[in-house]
Amino acid sequence: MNASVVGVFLIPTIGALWAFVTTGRTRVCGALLTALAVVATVALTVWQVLKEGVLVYPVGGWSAPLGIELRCDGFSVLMLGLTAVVGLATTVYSTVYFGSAREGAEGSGLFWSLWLFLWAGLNCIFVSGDTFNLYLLLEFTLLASVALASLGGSQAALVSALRYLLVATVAALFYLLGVTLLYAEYSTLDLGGLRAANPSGFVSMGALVLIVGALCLKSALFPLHFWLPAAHSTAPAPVSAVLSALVVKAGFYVLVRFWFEVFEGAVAAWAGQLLAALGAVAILWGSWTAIRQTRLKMLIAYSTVAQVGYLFLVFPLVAQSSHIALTASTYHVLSHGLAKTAMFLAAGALLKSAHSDELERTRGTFRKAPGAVIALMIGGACLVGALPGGGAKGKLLSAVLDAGQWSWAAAILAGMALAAAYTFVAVRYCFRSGGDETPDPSSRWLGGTALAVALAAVALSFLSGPILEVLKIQLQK
Amino acid sequence: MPEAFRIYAVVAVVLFALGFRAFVAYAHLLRKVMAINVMSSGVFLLLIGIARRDAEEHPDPVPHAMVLTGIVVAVAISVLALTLARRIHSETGGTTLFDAEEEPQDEEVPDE
Repeated sequence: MNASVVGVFLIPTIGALWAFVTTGRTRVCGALLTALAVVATVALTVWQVLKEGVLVYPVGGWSAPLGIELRCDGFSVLMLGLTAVVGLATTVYSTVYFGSAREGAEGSGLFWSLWLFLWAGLNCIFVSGDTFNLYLLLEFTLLASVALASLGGSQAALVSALRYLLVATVAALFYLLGVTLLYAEYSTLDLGGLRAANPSGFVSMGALVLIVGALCLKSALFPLHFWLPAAHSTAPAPVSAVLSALVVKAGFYVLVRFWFEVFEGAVAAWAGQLLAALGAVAILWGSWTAIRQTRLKMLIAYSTVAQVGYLFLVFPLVAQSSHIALTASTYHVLSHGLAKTAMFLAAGALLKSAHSDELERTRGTFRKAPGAVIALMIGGACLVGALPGGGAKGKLLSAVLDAGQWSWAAAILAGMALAAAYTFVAVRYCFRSGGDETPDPSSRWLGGTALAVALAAVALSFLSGPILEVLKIQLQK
Repeated sequence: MPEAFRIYAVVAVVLFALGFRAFVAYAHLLRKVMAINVMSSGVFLLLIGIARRDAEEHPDPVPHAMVLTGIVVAVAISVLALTLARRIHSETGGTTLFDAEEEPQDEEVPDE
């Protein structure tokens, strides 16, 4: 039943259309049902991949090179799983965040429809096997993300959303130019077909540069990260969570597909070192800037810039073993996705409780929304690498040390220390007295949701063995 | 390689470069949106040229499909960009991304 691969993006699309035409409680109920249905479909797909290996589904019965093939291997499965967990948590959180669910979440407007479209786009990116299809999905996800980011309503939100739209569209055009050049050389748009053609030569390397450059902007690698802090901090809290945890990683996912698979073996070693150097700068500069922030969501957004830098440290490892590089980076993607979601959802709860984003105004919030503060601390601890939730840093560190890349190991360690510093900066006012003491049940509930996600991030450590096994399910060529 | 393809390819890359230069150089939002459309035209022109690169009987239909889809995407992106630009203009009275207030205000937290 390979059709479940289609269901992972078809079901949220139908849910999004339903959310577009309904209002009030019907809409919220429809969104919740859709979320549960998507999680069930993803679980079914995961089970099938574990049982049968890689799933390949030619859409409409037309196989490559003419048609679009959907493929779901171990890496796709893990990304789908992350999206499902983050998506379900965010959907449940949003029913309360935008106003009481009983009254139908009045303040949410187009949020539900846009969010379900975004979910559909993300799921489709993770199962798509066609380069042009990936271009369309990247633009589709971008449209949904920008519209969601602009829901904040303030002038800063509108400006940062438009900036995100403009630069990401330019990046997507670079990507399309790269895909065009590859098509001109090899007459195929299929990822598997391109891999079999073994791209090399001037035109292919030019295409690689264009594609990698474009995807580095989409994954917010320093210095192409400039659009991220404003856009992620001015968006509503659940939107920030999804943007930081998933959308940025979708760009990284496509980059990995190209670098590790299509251009396997053809990329020069210095290119990997260049990406790792930019990643190291991202870690140090992003963490340092996060420490100096006075607003909570800006702090968390700069933390995203820093954490994305970690992902790029694995590129020099590809020469020795692409599997180790993939394992370390995927585990970090999963861990950061859950931890960052917990932090942004907690920030939203604190925002509701303190009525302000300024760190100094979060005094006394530990008494009002303890779950949120604890979630913020656990999320930060996972990013620091403190066990048991911090296994990702340890895995990255050991992979880098095994490959003898001492300089990047130093960057990892420095980043871990800086992460501890900005986690402290994030929560240090919450334990102080002062501030409004009136109890706030909704922020308690929101904090509880954030705490659940933070505990999921910790639980991920206990699943590291099965995750490694799942990643081994790959299409062998 | 047919001569026509060479011309198309060069013009396409020149359009792409000019569009990118305009995107980076101009601050006015309308110019940025137009620059994106010029860049897209460059890529589409390259795709059209590729369709005939082998000088066979019939052109390759796949790049044509890519161009049609790409045009739709460019229209959607332009619509969203222009809508946001109009909204920014009505809120700030300015036409660039730098006209808004420097310091982001507190997020408008929806109350129950």
